[in-house]
Amino acid sequence: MTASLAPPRKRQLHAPKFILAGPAIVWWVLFFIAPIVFVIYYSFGTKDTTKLLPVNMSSPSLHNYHQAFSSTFFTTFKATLKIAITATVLTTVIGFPVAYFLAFKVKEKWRAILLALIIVPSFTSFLIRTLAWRIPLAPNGQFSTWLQDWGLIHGPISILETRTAVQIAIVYNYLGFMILPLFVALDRIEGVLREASKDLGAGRIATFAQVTLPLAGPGIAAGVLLTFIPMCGDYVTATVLGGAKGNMIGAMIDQQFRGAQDWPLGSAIAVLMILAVLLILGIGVGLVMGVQYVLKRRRRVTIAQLEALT
Amino acid sequence: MPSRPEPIKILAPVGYREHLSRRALLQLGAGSAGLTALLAACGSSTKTAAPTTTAAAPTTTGATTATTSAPTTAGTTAGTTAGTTAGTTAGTTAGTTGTTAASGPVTYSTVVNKSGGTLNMYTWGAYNDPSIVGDLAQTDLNITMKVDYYTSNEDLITKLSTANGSSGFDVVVPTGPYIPQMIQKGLLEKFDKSKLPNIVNVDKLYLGQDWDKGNDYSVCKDWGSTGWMVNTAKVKTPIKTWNDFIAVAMGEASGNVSVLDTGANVLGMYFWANGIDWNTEKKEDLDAAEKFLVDQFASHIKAFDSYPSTKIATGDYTLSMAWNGDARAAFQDIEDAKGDTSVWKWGLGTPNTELWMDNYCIPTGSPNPDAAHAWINWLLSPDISIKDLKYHGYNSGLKDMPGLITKYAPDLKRSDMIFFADAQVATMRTQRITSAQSRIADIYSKIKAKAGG
Amino acid sequence: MTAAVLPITSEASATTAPRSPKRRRRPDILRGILAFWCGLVLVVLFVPIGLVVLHSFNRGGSFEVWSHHTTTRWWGILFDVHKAGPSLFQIVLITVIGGAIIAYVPRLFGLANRFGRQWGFPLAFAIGVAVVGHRTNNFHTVFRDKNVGDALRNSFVAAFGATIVAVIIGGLAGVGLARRPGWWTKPFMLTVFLLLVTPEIMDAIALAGWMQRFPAIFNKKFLGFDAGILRLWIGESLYSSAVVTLIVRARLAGIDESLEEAAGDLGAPPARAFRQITLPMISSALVAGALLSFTICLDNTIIAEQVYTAGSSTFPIYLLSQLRSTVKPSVGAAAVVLFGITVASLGFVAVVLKRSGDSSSQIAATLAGG
Repeated sequence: MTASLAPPRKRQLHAPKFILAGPAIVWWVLFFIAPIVFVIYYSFGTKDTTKLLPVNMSSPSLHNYHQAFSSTFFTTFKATLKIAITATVLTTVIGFPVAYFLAFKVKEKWRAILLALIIVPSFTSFLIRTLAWRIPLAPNGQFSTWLQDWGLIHGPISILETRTAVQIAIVYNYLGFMILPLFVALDRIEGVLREASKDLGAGRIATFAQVTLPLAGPGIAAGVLLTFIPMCGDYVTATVLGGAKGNMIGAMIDQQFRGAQDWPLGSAIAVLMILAVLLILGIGVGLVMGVQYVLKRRRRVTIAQLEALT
Repeated sequence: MPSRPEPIKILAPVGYREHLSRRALLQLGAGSAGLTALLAACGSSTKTAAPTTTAAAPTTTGATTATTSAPTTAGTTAGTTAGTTAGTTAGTTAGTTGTTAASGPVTYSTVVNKSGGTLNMYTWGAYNDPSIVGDLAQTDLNITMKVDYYTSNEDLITKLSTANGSSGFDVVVPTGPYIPQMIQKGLLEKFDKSKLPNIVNVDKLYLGQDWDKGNDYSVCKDWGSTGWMVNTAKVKTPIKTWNDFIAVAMGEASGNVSVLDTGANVLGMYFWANGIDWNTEKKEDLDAAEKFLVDQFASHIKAFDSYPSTKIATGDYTLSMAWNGDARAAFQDIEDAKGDTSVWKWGLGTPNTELWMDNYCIPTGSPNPDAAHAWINWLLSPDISIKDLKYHGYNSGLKDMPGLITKYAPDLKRSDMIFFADAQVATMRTQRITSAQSRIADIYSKIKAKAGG
Repeated sequence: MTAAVLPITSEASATTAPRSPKRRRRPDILRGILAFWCGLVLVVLFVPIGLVVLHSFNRGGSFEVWSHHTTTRWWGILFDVHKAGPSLFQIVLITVIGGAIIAYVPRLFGLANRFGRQWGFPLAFAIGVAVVGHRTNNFHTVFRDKNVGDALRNSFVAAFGATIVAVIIGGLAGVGLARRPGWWTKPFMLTVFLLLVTPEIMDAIALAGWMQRFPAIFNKKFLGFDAGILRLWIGESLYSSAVVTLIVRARLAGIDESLEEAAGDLGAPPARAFRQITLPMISSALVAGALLSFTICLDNTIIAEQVYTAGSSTFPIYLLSQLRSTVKPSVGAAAVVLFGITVASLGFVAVVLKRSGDSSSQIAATLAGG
């Protein structure tokens, strides 16, 4: 006796697998991919202020790229990259101990509170937090007066409107965004692995270097990614605190678009910026992978070696 | 009553500056003063005496009245001048407004048209008294105001252009020379003059400018000039000319200098210092400017800042290029911060400097043109105009400014930074948008990029 | 770039066996140093925020320059105290009483009312906001400084609309990625990556130019909202939708498909299975994603500045334009209000996620982008 356990399945017309992502695809193509394609397209044109859309595409050329590579623009490129790389390193160095502390040295109850204390400032208004830095850095401000009174500096603070101010503010603004992924990465390491390492006799430093750090690798990479790239394109910090010396690529692109009405040049600089960022990321990833590969080869223990030991 | 005479002078259009000499001015002034003293003794308040009671105030105003007639009678004798003056003013005084002896029956139109709805204004920062763009507009005109800010005419043009004529703004405030290109691009709407009866209050000298001869698209908001603010506690060299400014910027104040955030002004500084017309289109001039500013000057700049007033108070800058009204506001900011105002000195640019005039315009596609007209009209009435002047510190260009100041703002501080002597005005030059505009923008980008390195 | 959230709670320090006395002393020093460092970092993180609060009481006319005296007049300039006070009180009242009613009254009738207890208070809060908002003409009369008031309002409307878009398209996409991966996954994830990684200035200028090409669409009113708001919805939703996608995907990837398969076996069509099985599973992720997206959109500066039109300026745009003249302390007051709302929003995220069983580590993981 055969009893069918379930009603026969109708032959359904299966929608294509990506149908659920359909709306997202449409939205992003319309408002992200297409506009950026146009930006790349414009980067080959010439400025034409007689038209409402001031781009003349009649004779496309690379001259905007030539101009972007000219020494004056290139210096801002280099400055931006320098600021971003320094800031990434600094946030990693400052943030890693915090993340380590939260992941391994704190009870669950406190962890929630501390995490909240770190998350809240990081997610509040970027612009206001940047603006707030004008207060302590003001040359005639209270903080400056205190430092002078205590003899720590000999004249008023002169950091505002310089690259240093931008550097400080960027480190501050992105610190939270570096701590979080680092924490998540460290937290995901199973405690048993570290315990096993200690049980096998490795000292704390050895455990850290050979177990904790490599396992947290992907998370560290994520954190670097989440911070380095936005730093490169940062525009607010440079505008609020940078003055002339702290100019960054993001602000320069905006100046070309709104001030000089030179959309082709602005587009070219934007494209170059993305390419430069991707290039640096590529180099970074390559370096990391290379180091990993070398380490792996050194650490590889074949069965034959094991047998030789026993 | 003012405790000391206000040396109030007015602007004469560029064209006439050539015809006016110090001598002619003094002659006219002396002549009118004599005549007015005579007529004042008679104590009449007829229309013919209209200019006289105004001139009964300090002598210098006599010269003012005389200069008003200068356009029509350049370099003539005093006698004829007085007559023409009477004629001009009599013609423009329609109806009477209750005036005191001090302001005389230079009468003004004070029509207030109520409107409704919201008014979106796009303007320069710190440029209107907060109540005039707020509560007062609500009570007097029934209009709710919203204001957005820009710092350069290029920003304004870009914003209007990218919105393709429907930016949502009802009133914008471009500087004169930029208006022709805005008209040509179809970014501005014509006025409905019937809704602007108070336009008669504007001194004739400020109407009919080169960029809009019929005032079909624009009307004077105010005019001002460019100079510098220097912290004499940190800079020992006195600064008398633009050359001094440049020298100090590259020397004692290097790294603590701010310049205005417009290419025309930065290049203008170079041209004025070197006796070149800042509207030059000659390639060699522009090349020389680029060479000097990019290669030598740029690295000394700390910031490109069109409103250095706050940062002067916080001590960011030692030397700043500034517009006169903003520099005046800086003194107030320094006082607020309990700083020392005595070390800061304002200087008007010499031997030449800028004369700019900002104008109220209505952009194309304005959602509420009725409110726009009502508001602009309201701003042209004397009491509101002076109230605004007290806030932004620029000459608002109405008839008989001294009389209005006496009436509405007798304790106006630092008025020497608002009203300029004739001799000073003679050194000011209006900007013209020329074929060099693109080149200037390029050079400016390079200066900015170099300053960042 | 992202991995699924693994429901592991770290117990590293809790389960260490007792060690020799020598060993027990050493961790303390390191711990002490790390604790000190962490404390220092936290202080530095909060100092600027504290300064903003302080300077909103500055007596002088400028925000940055401290005049050594305090005053509350800027708050008075920002808010119409006679309207703002009662409004705030009304919201609190409705939240407390309404929430209590929704949460507890059904129990009197013997109903289990799990929904009410879980969502009672947030729901009452939303009702309170809606009612008071209606009374005060969309909070228009609460503010004396209409510029700031409208800027804040526009910020909220824009963030709200963008969040709705982001949740819908991101939620669907996340489900699709987790449940129906295929050849399309790689290019799609690449797009998500690009979205998260492209500097905002690039997006901003691209959108500004793009929208200018189609004035017929982007310069007209939309559903009764200004064209500017529509532009903001579009611009702000890009980044948020990517974030929501990742969050939902991460959440769903950790749960296997057996429940949905069971539903299918029992005869439920895919749509019903989605509605009754999948959706509840991701509901906490959706809410968390929505709140996160709202928080991010509130602060969106760069894109907003390029695409907005008059009358739809948001608070960051207002701030940026204030920077071009003088920043008044009333701006600080408005900033404090925004802080409060952001903190509340983040708090909700935490509550929602905690209710669905996440540990703080998982919450952090979600906020870090899944």
